[in-house]
Amino acid sequence: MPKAFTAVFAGSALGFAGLQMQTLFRNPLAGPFVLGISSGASLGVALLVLSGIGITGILASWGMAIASITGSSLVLILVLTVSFNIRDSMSLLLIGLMVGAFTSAVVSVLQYFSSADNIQSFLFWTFGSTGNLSWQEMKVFIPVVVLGIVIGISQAKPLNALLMGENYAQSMGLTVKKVRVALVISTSLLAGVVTAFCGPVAFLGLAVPHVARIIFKSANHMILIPATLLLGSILLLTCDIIAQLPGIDLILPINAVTSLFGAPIVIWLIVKRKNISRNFG
Amino acid sequence: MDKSTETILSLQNLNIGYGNKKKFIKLMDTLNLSVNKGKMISLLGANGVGKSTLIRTIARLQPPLSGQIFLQGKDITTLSNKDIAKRISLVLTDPIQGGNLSVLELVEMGRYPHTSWSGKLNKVDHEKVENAIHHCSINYIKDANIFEISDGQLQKALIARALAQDGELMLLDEPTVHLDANNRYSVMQLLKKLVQETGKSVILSTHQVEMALDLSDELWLANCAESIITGSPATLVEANHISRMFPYLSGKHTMGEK
Repeated sequence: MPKAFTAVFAGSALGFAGLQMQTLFRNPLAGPFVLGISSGASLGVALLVLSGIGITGILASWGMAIASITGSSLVLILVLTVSFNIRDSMSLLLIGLMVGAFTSAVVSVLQYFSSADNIQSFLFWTFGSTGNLSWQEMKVFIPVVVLGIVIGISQAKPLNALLMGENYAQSMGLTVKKVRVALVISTSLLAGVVTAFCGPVAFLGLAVPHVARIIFKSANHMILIPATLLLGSILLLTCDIIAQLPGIDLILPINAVTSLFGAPIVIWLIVKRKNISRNFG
Repeated sequence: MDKSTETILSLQNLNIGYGNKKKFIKLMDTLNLSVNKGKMISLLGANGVGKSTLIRTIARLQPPLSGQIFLQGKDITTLSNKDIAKRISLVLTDPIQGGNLSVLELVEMGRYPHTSWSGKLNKVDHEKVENAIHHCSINYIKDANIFEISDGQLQKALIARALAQDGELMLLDEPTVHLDANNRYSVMQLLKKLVQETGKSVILSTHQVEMALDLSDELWLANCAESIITGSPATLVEANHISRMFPYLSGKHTMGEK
């Protein structure tokens, strides 16, 4: 059943991407989308859908995927170029946010000039869905996710060193720029491909790493990586089941479900722990 | 060469500061200094004189404006980050945020340059970690989270981490800052003990002039207007450098032995 597979892979991809970003930026608010990756993907899709090209026939989903991946990789290349020139991850985070704001603005402008039909199909994409993937598309989706996860896992030890900050990490023998490039590539692959095929699934990337840290009480990425992979897939699968409860014909947008049920849970966890930044790592 | 006078670090015509070739701020120029094995060196000087910059430059966290740094005879620009990490360990003033990290895990991080891809510690690594924890007397807090311990305990844990990294040279940027008087004293005593027991060399920057005079083998006095002055505490006191640079000190420290 492709839908369940999609949820499992997309969930673990988003969770892991979030973990990498939070550690790289040493910021509990970072997620896979802070680098503007999802905005880039949205821009690609928006250009395609809102201009009214390629939304019919077999090409529909492929065109969407390609547009989305192109959009996210363009943003990725931009952010990577910048990251070669600056040493400070905080600046990179801010630049990612700015790029995100810029592309969102372009999407808004595009929407303003588009027909109601095109806007509607674009909106449906932004709701997110795990159900639209054919086996054919899975042949692209799964290998890309696996590649992103493998690259991320290869950086487990550097991720641990980054917990101490970039100066200490370098003093322990790590080449910060190389690690940063690997992490950005991994995150972009993971977030980019999920966004392409499932829409911009909100919230999971930010929340899963926090839940993993709270449950496993660890900062060690050798534990946190499998934890986020597992929790991410469980959470998205659960949300997916809630979205299409049996007996009800209606299927809720997955984006709404992840936020509706996820946000209160995370707020509760954080309030219980009092101080997330201490717990963050 | 005799072991006891082995040169660990030597700086040759080193200029340090910030910026590039066209536009730069020079903080210290033509430094020609060396550090022998088993010496404790205190770097004294006012805020902004470039103490942290010197430490960062020696650790290759930032490039020098010009000049060379030799680590056990090797030019550091020819060494990889990992090679440097095996020779130099650091204690910085950077805040540590890696919550959920236990003291033991923090100390184990020191073995980073020595472990394989997976970061798994072998028998030797575990011994070095145990040893470092023992030397710094932090066994009683090794299972505590790093956000549960006091600043003084954290500083000792960071020193243990640096010790576990097992380089010949340990650089500490203001290790006693933010600490109360007792902790300042015990951290400095700990460093002195480490130098004596492990034969490592230590360079630390500090504003604790009295303790530096009492405990250091050598002082580096940095001053904006002139080049760095080096020597044993006794010689520098004799030559009135201490009383000139730190006029607020009481007679006991500045009058010398006489």
